[in-house]
Amino acid sequence: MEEIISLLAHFQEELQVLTNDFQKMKNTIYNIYKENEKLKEENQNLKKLLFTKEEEEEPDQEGGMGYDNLTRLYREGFHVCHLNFGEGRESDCLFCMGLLDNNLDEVEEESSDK
Amino acid sequence: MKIEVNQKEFHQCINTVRKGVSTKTTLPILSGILLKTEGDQLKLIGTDLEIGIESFVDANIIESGEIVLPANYFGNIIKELPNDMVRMEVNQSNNTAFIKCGHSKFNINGFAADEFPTLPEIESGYSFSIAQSKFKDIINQVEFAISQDESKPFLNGGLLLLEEGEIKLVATDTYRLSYCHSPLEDQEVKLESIIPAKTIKELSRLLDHSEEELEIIITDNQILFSFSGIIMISRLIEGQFPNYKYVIPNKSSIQAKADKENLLRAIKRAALLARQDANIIKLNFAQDELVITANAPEVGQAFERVGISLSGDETEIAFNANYLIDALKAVDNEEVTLELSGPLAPGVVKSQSGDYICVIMPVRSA
Repeated sequence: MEEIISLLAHFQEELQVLTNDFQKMKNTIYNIYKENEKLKEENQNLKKLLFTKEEEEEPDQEGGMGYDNLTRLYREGFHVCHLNFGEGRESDCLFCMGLLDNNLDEVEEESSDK
Repeated sequence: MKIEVNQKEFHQCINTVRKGVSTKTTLPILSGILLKTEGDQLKLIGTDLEIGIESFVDANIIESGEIVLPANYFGNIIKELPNDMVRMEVNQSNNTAFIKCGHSKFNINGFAADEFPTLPEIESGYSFSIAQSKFKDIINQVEFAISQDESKPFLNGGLLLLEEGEIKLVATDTYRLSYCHSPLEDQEVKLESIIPAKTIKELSRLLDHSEEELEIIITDNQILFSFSGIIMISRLIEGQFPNYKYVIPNKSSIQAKADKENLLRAIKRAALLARQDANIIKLNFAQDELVITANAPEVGQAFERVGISLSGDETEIAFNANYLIDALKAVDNEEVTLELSGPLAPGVVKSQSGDYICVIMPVRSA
């Protein structure tokens, strides 16, 4: 019987230790959660600031930027035509070249109009 | 069913419909040919449910009936029989056919004809006619560029267009595009449909180089070709064919005219050494000559000269030799024009008559 009582006492101690550890973990997770919320908010604000700044700096170059992005993507070895968009390409593609040439013509026309 | 048919005519008719027979199917009956008596003729049909070919052969019909016989065995037996009258008797109760010709006798097990799928009836739709030889030429000039990539089904066929009083056929595998157009009389509608590669291939095989008419009926999802007693029905490929017009360059800074045969032979010879280097050949355009080179480091080098008449600046460009060979083979004129706009811009092979264009993407060479 004594043995059982001693075991129960030991078990109670262990439970106390576990409860303490659990409380510690709970506090840590709460702190991480709070920090994450704060970072999210900060990230949102920074994104807003960045986009406002970009829009202010280059309000008229959307077409040109789009063309540059597509050209970069194509040069990096990906299709930009609607048939295979985003897929890796083995060699030059007629439809990607057609798209890029047409876009270039449009961008040039737009800039000459201005 | 009891019939008598001439072996040669029978074999020819079986060969026609055999291409429609399915080779890979889970339905055993589709590996067979339907034989059915109709008036004083025997009708044969082969289908894989995507394409169906129907043909007739004159026969002495003693007793009418129908049966489906396995195309492979039946076709080969008739092929090997002597050129004499073939007598065929069908036992409808157990679907077997007894074939007798000279001293040869065969018994073949078949299938019940009523289990064979019926070809769709095409009554409505847009109908027009064109000379067989003309359509065969159009097909042969475009067929090679059809994409084999099954992940893009809308490229696994040729785009047939009727517009502006012309018939046009376009095919592309995104690395090259072939386009052929020809005037079509009394044609007012504008329509487009994608014909599967298999249908185009079989049509090219079956059409004659004759002025006989080929009647074409197009519906929303099917196309029918009727010619020389043969009817071919095929499904059309669903989907949007890419806008081919913006791929065909509308201007070029360099034009070179050359004799087609000389150019083709020179490229074929140079291509012999290009195989090791991804089939790449270099074309160096000078004022009055074109120098074609190929380099196989372990084998050697090829060097060819072809006389040309150049308009524009001298330039160098590299192509996949096979693409150029395919494009040049399709040109049916003595003279061919190569149009370029720089070493990285698409090159254009044009026939002298201007009704055939093949756009080929060059290769970036070191």
